[in-house]
Order: sequence, then structure tokens, then C-alpha cells
Amino acid sequence: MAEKLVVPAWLMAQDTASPRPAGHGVFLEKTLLRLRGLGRWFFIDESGTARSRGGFLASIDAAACLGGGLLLLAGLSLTRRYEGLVLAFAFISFIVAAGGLSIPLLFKRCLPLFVFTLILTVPVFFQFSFGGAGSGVFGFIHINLTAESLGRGGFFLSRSMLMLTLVMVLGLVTTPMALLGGLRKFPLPSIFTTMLFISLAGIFKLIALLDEAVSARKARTISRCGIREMEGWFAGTAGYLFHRAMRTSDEVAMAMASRGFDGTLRVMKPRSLRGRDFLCIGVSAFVSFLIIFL
Amino acid sequence: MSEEMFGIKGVSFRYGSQVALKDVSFSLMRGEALAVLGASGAGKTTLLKVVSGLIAPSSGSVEFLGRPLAGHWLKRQQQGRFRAGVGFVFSEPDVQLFCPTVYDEVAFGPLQMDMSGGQVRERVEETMSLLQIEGLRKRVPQRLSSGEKKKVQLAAVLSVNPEVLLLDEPTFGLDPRTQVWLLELLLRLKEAGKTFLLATHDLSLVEDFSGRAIVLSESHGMVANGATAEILSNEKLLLQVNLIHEHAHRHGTVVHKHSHGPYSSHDEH
Ligand SMILES: Nc1ncnc2c1ncn2[C@@H]1O[C@H](COP(=O)(O)OP(=O)(O)OP(=O)(O)O)[C@@H](O)[C@H]1O
Ligand SMILES: [Mg+2]
Repeated sequence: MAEKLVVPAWLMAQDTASPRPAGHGVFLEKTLLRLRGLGRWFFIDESGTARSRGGFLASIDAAACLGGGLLLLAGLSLTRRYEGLVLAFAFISFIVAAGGLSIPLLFKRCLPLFVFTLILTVPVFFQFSFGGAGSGVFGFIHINLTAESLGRGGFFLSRSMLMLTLVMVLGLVTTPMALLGGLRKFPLPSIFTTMLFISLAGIFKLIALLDEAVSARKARTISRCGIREMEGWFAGTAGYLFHRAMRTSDEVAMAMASRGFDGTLRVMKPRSLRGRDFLCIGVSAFVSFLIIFL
Repeated sequence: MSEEMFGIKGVSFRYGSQVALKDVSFSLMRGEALAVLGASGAGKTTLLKVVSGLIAPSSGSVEFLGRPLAGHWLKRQQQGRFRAGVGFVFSEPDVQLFCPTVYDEVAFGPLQMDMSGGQVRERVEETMSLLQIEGLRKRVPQRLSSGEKKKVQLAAVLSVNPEVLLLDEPTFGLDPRTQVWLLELLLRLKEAGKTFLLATHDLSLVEDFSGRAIVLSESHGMVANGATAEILSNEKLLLQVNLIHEHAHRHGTVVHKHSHGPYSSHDEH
């Protein structure tokens, strides 16, 4: 280290070029940022959920929540009538109100999923077609709007959205670890929860990595860059992420092993179910029954 | 004086063709705090990983309480005993923290040790209050500051109550006040009879905490093993392994050279 230090001249002087102002970036960058935001909402957003942990709903065992939720999901997927959907909506609203859950947060979490389902289902049920015969509107897009497809599509959409909302509500009421604990009450092999836990840890790590990559890029660029440059960066980042993910998973595996993980995950023993837990399951079963046969 | 916890015998390690450790031998006695010194890339982290049985040496052997730590030995029931006995605090918290909340993180180790629910809860509470992180229990580990992460990492390892603690750069990223607090905690644990193997560049921590030190050179071999005071006063050795560096500077018209570094003697000019 005793060699002479050679500092490039430009580093010793003030840069003459003034930086261009930071822009908001182009489509790809926005998409990436949004993706990261989405990940955060799902897995590491801390605000809002804590507010929901209190009161009656929070005191119900995770296993009961899970059981009740699954029963309601089953009811929703079997019903063929709008009345069932209305009832489910009323019941979900009741849970949200009774649990004091943050509605904006719930909305924020559900919205991307809604949009996603919409994009997937609209072409299927409204029979969009590009070119070909049909009652053409909008130039080249043809839409076959029949009362039947409208009814079918609308029903399917509302049903999927209700199911998604229910899953998100479940996510707000309990924590991931509690749900894993709850799962242990079901007669499932322990490898199942172990795998779930490892994927959960993996997802956490991946989001952290994505976070890091996005901030690193932001730190290195002052001006917005063009789509070409962005694509280059994206390809590079994807490679880097993959590499890092592999290395990280290796290290995480070591970290788990060093704290005694031997391939079988042990989680906090859930307490035994109490009256209110059975009440929760019973009510869910009843509502589910009504949803199907109303 | 005391029993040998770890015996490291002629250990070498290679990552592919990249040599990381070359013929390292030393022993770690119960209740002592041994520092591993060396410049960046000398192989300190690798050495800790080998000692903790996370990676197997390319040649040589590691013995824990007189028994070789071969791969198949670790796979048997003793694995739990070894893991509970040896705690490893990684230098990068992001790798070590993988649970959704701080509470789960601290509870993870005790749970894997098959403790009862009540015992685990008690352990977690006491560890969190020892490290003053009760306020973080519901937080997501990824979202904490580096200092907070370091504390959670320590809590996650201490909650298992290991006899031997392997610490990789424990003071890295901590503010000065937290460094002092950590030193106090480590000294208390040492008094309680814990054994330490500590990899660091922080020579002042070594001076205050470790009685003995080994030094790894930049060619990954062990070049010294002795009392901390002796090693830290051996300026020639420290310069040779790049732990401190010679530094020329000017006082008026006089230019002179002396050693410099986080720890070095600097006489009056
Ligand atoms: N996973 C790996 N694959 C390949 N080479 C590695 C790997 N990890 C470390 N090395 C190499 O092994 C050598 C020793 O690395 P090690 O991490 O043990 O150093 P260190 O003394 O802990 O350094 P630092 O003080 O910077 O943490 C280095 O040359 C490093 O480049
Ligand atoms: Mg290191």
C-alpha cells in the first residue's frame, strides 16, 4: 500500500458539465419501480397492518382464520348466483368493519390484482377479436357484446375480485408466520410449511435485491435515460439479480443452518383453539353454505 | 488451564481455484477471546465459516471438543447440539435476517432447538430487552437501519445461548456509542464464560477485548499467533500484512514517514 496514489485529474477538479435535471424515466423504469412497489405492499409494508392487529378479529387463532377463509373461498368458487356474491360482499365488509382494517391499505393491495384479473378476463368473456367478422367498433377491434357474455364476464369478474379481496383481508388479519403456524394445525406434512417458509424468505430477499438494484441505478444516473439504455440496464440487472439471488440463497441457507435449521422447520406451537375460534369457523361455514345455496 | 473447544489443524480452503486459506492451525480454548486479524480478503470470513462447519475445508481438519467436525458427523443428531453450542454472527446482516418480523427472527433459533412455546417466548422477551430492541418486535428486519440490524442479528444468535460465539466484523456500521455498548456486552458475556472467535479490522476492539490474536497475511497463511499486546506492538508485522500503513506527510519543511492506521503509535513530532 506504500505505492504512489494516482488520482485521475478529473476527480480532483470540478466537473464543468452541469447535470441535467432528473426525470421520471421511461416506461421500463416506471414498470420496474411499480413492480418494486407492488412487492413492498405485499410483503414488507409495515404501515396500516399494525392498526388492524387489535380487537376481536386479532384474537382469533390463525388456524381458525385460515379455516374460515378457506371455507368462504370454497363457497365463493361454487356459487352460481349473484345473491351469493352480494352476501359474500356483505360478509367481507362486515369483517373489514369489525376488524377496523384500513380500507385504503386494503384497496391499495387489491387494486393491482383487480387490474391484472381484468386484463386477463376481459378478452375471454367479452370476446374481443382483432380483425374478423363481428359488430366492429374502434376500427380494428371487434367486440361481441351479448347479454350472455356480459352476464358471464361480470359474474366471473366480481367473483374473482371478491376472492382476491378475501385473501388480502386474511393477509391483513394475521401475519405470515402466524399463518404458517396455523397451517401446522392441519394434517399436512411438515415439509409443506418448510417449503412455504423458504419461498417466503426467498421472496423477501428478492424484493430486497430488486430494491437495491433500483436504488443503485438511481444513485448512478442523474438524467433520465432513453429506452435503449434502459433496456441495456434492465438486461444487465436481470443477470446481476439472478447471480445475486443464487449467491444469496446459498448464504441464507448457511444462515439458517447456523441457527439450527436442519431441513424441518419448527414454528411456534399454536395455542389450542378456543370458543371464539370455533365460532369463527362455524360462522364461516354457515355463510359459505348460504352463499352456495341461497 | 482449560479445555480445548476448537482445534484447527492445517486447514486450507479454496473457492474453485481461488485460494482463501493456506495451512492454518490454532486452537481455541474455553473462555478465551481470540481475534483473527488480517487485511480485506485475507480469509477471515472463510475461516469463521470453516470453523462453524458451514463449509468443509479443502484439506486439514476442524475438531470440536476433541471430535472431528466431518460432514457426516454434523448430519447426525449432534447437529442440534453443535448448532446450539456455536453461534455465528455474519458480517452482512441482510444475509442472516430472513424472517418476516424481528420477533420471528429472534424466535427462530430457539424454536429449531425444540424448546417449548413458553420457553421460547420467555427467551425472546429477555433477549430483546437485553439488546434494547423491544420496540422493533413487529418491524420487518429488511427495513431497519444497519445498527438496528446488527442488534437483531446478535439477538437472533444470543437467544440460542451458544457457548462459542463466532463474530464477523461485529462493530462494522455501528455508531461510536453503540460500539462502546457492544464492547460492554461482549465483556459481560466473556465474564460469563463464553468463548469468542472474532474477525475484525477494528484494532481498538481487539486491544480491549481479546487476550490472544492470530494474524492472516494477504497470501492467506497464518503469520502470527500470540498475545494481543505483543502482536499490536509489532509494527513491522502489522505493516507487512497491511493492517496499518506507512504514511508520509509534511510538517513545515520536514517530510517524514511513520505508521498510521486505526491503531498505531504516533509520537510527537
Ligand atoms: N464465494 C466466494 N467465491 C469465490 N471466492 C471467494 C468467495 N468468498 C470469498 N472469496 C475469496 O476468498 C478470499 C478470502 O475472502 P474472505 O471473505 O474470507 O476475506 P475476509 O478476510 O473476510 O475479508 P474482509 O475483511 O474484506 O471481510 C478473497 O480473496 C475472496 O475474494
Ligand atoms: Mg469478511
